[in-house]
Amino acid sequence: MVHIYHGKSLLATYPLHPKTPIHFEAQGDIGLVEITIDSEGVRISHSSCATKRCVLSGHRHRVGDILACVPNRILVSIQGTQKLALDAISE
Amino acid sequence: MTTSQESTQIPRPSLVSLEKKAYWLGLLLLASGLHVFEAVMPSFGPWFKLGLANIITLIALQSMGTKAAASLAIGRVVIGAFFIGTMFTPTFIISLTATLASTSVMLISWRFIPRISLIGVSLMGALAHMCSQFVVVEQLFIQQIALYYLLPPLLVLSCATGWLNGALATYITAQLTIRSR
Repeated sequence: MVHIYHGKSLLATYPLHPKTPIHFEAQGDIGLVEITIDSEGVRISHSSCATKRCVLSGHRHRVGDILACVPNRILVSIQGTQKLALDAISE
Repeated sequence: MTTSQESTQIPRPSLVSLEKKAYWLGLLLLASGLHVFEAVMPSFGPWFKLGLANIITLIALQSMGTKAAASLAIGRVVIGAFFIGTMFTPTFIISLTATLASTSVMLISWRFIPRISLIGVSLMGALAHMCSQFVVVEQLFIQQIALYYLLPPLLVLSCATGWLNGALATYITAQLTIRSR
């Protein structure tokens, strides 16, 4: 599941692999952040911030991955019960 | 008549202290330049920079002492922010607090750990910088614990860059002492 947060508040929750692409516009501290969830995963497609580091982060599709736009205080986090790839090391 | 007499009585700083100031200013300009260069250069990820400007801090620490190194690190962040255009934005706040934390860790380890090398100091600084950056972002901006999932892989990366910067600084200071003989 993809969770979208603004600061401490949860804005929206979407499935990671939707049948049709989802566009969600999150209202951040300085403007809108557009989040796209499609077959490749989740990404931030547009942001009102100056540095655009969130847009440059690209796609994320594994459980535990996060995307963040710090000036807007928007966090996109992929959460789930499925096993993480790196857990095999500690077994 | 009186003015010329007064002007001759103005105490001049000694050539040695002037030379030291000029050297420090040169290092500050170099560090600011590297800081700006790093901000515009493409990096491996949005959360990650090489920390090349820290090489200059290490050189100052080795050749001029802790005070000069601390003022150099803070000075280059402020001057760099003017050039990049991030003054007083979240980027600047994160950068300044992380630099303050990592510089104090570096100075304390340089002062109190016996026979620590520049590589060790650089490693301590890199790890402190990464950790404090995450704490600042978590406390002030994102406020979600999920953020810390990013920390372990980035700590591994910062070990690599910390070692690289320390090795470069060791090489540069060795070359400088050979040339100045």
